[in-house]
Amino acid sequence: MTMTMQTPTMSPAFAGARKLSRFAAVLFTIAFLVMLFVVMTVPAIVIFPTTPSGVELGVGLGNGVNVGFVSLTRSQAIGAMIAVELFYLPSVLMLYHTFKLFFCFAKGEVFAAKPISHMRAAGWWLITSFFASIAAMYLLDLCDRKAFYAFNGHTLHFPGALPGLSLWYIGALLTGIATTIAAHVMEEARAIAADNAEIV
Amino acid sequence: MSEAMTFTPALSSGFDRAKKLSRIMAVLFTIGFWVTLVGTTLVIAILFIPQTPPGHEDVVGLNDISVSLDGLSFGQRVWVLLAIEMVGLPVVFLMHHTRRVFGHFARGEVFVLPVIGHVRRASVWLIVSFFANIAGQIMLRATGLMPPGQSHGTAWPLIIGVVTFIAAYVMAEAQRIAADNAEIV
Repeated sequence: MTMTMQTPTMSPAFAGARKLSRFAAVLFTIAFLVMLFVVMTVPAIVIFPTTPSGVELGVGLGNGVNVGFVSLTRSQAIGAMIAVELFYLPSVLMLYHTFKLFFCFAKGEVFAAKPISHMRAAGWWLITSFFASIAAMYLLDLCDRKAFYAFNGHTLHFPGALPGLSLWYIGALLTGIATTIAAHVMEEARAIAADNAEIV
Repeated sequence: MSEAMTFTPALSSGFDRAKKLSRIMAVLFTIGFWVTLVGTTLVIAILFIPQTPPGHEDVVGLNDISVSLDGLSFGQRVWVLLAIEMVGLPVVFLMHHTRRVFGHFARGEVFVLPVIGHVRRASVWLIVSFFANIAGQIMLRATGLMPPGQSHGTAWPLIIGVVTFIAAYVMAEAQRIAADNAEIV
């Protein structure tokens, strides 16, 4: 049983949808590569925290959180680097599964096992990003609260900041859960449809 | 086609579990929908809250941004209300369509056009919520009602909304072809 639709001449609308998918796949591939580049350059910024002209380099984590490495001790810098990687890696993997999903669509695979599994994986990484983001903030707090990060000009105080942080990232958790469960339901339905088709 | 793609629970215990999970999600999103709806309705009351005595402060929250109502004129309160409604209403619609998606899943309707339609509409509201959040903050900042230095925003609603919208569009087209093929057979 294959749910692959390989006939673009069947419907101009579906051909348009495949073109749009290819476009989205390319965009998300670029986003993935950019994020991957950021993740890979963080260790380099730890080693070379300033430019030759003395300008401080740093990494932004959104919402006014900026991580610089100049004033940190070696252990603090390594901790901060791990925090940044922890923050970004789930997003990188989420983008990876998103562009793979759109490449599947572009090839005409829609209600098939492969795109559904990518959808589920993207959902899992979204859920992971919720916990990883909070863990990253906690790690930054452990490294050095005052030296290098601020939420809209305010430092965070754990564990009191946990509810607020959870609210900040709750969107990723809710979307991730919804996506994962939707993919699970689709996978089960697809398996039944495949079984039925074999019986026929 | 809708009936053809509906599965009976006896067919698979895995799908039965998936349906149960969907029912739980539908209930949770229904609760979320009602809470958000009641919240966006009750917030109209900020227009009629009397001025508080000194030492007390009435504050409304827009995500994690708090706005003090003390000393605000009726017009300014209307402005704050508009900003809050602008941020809250897309979430109400988002919750509504999401609960409908899981409601369909719970009934065993998965690859059908009504489900895909709700997914598409949910994605549109997710995209709208991204821009509405920015617009709400601009409204408050323009009038100086938002404390300086406060801002909140993430691009994820936009990214996930666009992904979901395109996915729903592709699924709808694929579903139409599948339906046409089924009719030919």
